[in-house]
Amino acid sequence: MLHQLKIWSAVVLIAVLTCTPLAVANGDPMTITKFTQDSVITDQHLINDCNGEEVVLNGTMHFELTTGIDADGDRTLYDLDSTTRLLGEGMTTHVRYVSVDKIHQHDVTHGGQSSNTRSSTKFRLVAQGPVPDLISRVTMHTVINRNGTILVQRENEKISCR
Amino acid sequence: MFHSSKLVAVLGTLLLAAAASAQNQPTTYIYDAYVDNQTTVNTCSAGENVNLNGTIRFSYQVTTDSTGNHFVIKAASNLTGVGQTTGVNYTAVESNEYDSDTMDSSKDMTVELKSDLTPQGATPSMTLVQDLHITADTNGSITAEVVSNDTSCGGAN
Repeated sequence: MLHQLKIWSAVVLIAVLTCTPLAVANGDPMTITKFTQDSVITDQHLINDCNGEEVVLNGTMHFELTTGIDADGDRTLYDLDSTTRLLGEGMTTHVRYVSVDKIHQHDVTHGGQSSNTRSSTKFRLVAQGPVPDLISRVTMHTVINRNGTILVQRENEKISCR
Repeated sequence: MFHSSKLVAVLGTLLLAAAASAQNQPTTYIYDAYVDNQTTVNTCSAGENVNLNGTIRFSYQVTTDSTGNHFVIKAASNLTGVGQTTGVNYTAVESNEYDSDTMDSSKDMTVELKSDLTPQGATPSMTLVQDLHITADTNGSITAEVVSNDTSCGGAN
């Protein structure tokens, strides 16, 4: 079943952990900056296509972003770790689902460009008891700019139970 | 440090650059990376090392318009594994797509390929998470390697 679920996590990173001038990555002196951000996922609905049950998800997304900019500002590194923690509940059976999903991505751009990528991925919502797990296949569209702003959009999500 | 994963070398072969068939169809470039006795650990149940073998096929297209270059890279794995303690056979078959829109003429990215690592005769309950370092350019050159192999247990970790 095709289930369109779009979650915009449009966040301005509020926590700048460290800024290290002239760190070196691949022989290129760079200014390294680390950011963190947490956002909340509230009442996302999807359908378990095995039994037609509606499942409601709540949880959090945690981002750890490292950017590196070289001395002349031409080369920018983006290194993003995101952790999504979800708890779900079946609206009919009240079965509970749990998922902890981690994604790492690393991108290099030139000329001060943002990182603009799409990655397809899958994650598993583990069901309590004998109910089948739910498998989500989704495209994550991620745009990150040099000041640490992250935009994440979940696109074309497909849910199955096998 | 930007990239802490250990580097696991793979052998690769640039197989072909398929000719554009007709009328503005972008060329598809194909590259096979061979996974040769790379190890991951089943952290979900048996706690054993699993030796992986097989291929990951990378194919990509790049198109250019007024907004820049658009890279579309696909990775398709076809792997088998053998548990070093139990002797259990595993399989992992998956394909993912990674796109990037950029003004750059080359792309340097590290992405994840997640696949079910399925023990023989059992229901998949474990995910093989492979970090793939990919470079590609507008001229059809591509390099790719597996830089790490880890497992994830879904909601259990």
